[in-house]
Amino acid sequence: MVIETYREILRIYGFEVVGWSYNGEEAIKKFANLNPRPDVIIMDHRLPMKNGVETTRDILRIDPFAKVLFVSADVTSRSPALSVGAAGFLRKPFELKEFVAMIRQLGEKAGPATSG
Amino acid sequence: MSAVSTAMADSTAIRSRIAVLRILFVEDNLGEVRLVREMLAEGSKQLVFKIEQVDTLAAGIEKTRREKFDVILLDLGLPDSRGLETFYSLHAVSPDVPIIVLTGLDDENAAIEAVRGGAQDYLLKGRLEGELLTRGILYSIERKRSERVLRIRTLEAESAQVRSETYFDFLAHDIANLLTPIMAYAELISDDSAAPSNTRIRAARIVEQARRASSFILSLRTLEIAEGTPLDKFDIVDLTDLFPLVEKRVREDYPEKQISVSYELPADVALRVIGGVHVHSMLEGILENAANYADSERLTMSIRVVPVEDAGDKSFWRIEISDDGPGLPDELKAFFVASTPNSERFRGGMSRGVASSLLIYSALVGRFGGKIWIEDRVHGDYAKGAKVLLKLPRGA
Repeated sequence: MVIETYREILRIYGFEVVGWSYNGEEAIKKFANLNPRPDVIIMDHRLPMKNGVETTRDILRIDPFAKVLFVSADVTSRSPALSVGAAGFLRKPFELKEFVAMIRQLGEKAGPATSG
Repeated sequence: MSAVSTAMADSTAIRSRIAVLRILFVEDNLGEVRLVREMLAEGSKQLVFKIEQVDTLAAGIEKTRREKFDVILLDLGLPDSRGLETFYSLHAVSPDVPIIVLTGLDDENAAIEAVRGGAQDYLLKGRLEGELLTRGILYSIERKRSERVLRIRTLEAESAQVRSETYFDFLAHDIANLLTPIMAYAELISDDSAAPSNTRIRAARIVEQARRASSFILSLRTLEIAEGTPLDKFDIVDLTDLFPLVEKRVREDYPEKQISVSYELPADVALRVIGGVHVHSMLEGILENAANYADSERLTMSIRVVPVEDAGDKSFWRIEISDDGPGLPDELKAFFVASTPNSERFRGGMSRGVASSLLIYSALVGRFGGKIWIEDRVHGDYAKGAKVLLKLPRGA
């Protein structure tokens, strides 16, 4: 449900969703095969197989410049997420304006040839 | 063991029935063994002591591994082990059997140490007599039994605690998760200029309610985390850094209200307090509450900070946040003087739904030694506005 919501919202706000995944392991594989790489990755924490913090860490090993926006309802995940290198943290539920603003901000950091 | 449990559980059983207690005596001095056998033989009419003797620690360990004893009498000085080590070695292999240390005068300190380390009792050789020894044995069995019951209850309580923490975490996390699409879709509708204005207003109300539910869950979760945080692990913040952030936030959240805030702060001193992010969210919550309940378009607030010295020589900062909103009648104010989440008043406030966020703050601030309470801005006339007072311990 949450992924469908994200996809719809992101589309409405003019972003292109290039991939999604329901678990951490699969996310890493998909990320490694994406070309070009996405400007922003939206990451939940409580995921099957591998949690969001571990997945973020592994994605940043593949690409240290990846911008991960960590979005979780688990407030205790904030500090581990930021310490493995997530570029931002947003607590669920969030306000759309804030969500969209954070993605835009990270997208701009990713480089000029990008963004939605 | 079963014979003992029955006898010990019911004193009439001791009187009416003969209980057999199995004793392992680890002692290499056969004279001592004979003496103890004689004492216990005359000890009691209802009790029969069945004594097995071994003369080394190794044999004692071997024996307790294979057979069940009700009690172990242990001499600390054996051919293959001396002193405290003797006790620890045997206790390690049979932690559930009560051990009474028998020792000479020269080794009393080791015996006391053994009791600290889990031995039930120590008795001095040369001072032994039948009744003393019998009573020592019976009490040691009873004490061991109570210890075990207590241990089991503690474990049960701990596991109940872990279970309820897990349920709570699950509840808090998943409801916040479920609120995400509710809030997002409602926000989409309320921002949709093509939608009828009635629909947009209703959607905005959904957003507002979802936001409240979310902040309520967050407050409770924050309190729960704070309860488990040791006092020295709370961050220290400077109030002068927080005030502008909090003021900015409340203006953003209530753009339709004209909010003016004036300050009266002590000059040339760092206003450092214990509580970090909690203090931040409390100040934010207090200002947001004031803005939320203000019934006119204009809200005037004043923030004053004064030093407080406690009798216990602890220093605090007292923060007074006054507003000219509708104020709080005395019977409602009383709820916020609450204290700990275990108090009647806290639960009473919860069950009446009294501004739950303030109740949570009062428990939170109590966690790091502070206090929160409410007075009238104008003494004796609550309708002229409320004054929220926060007493926070100073940070180094």
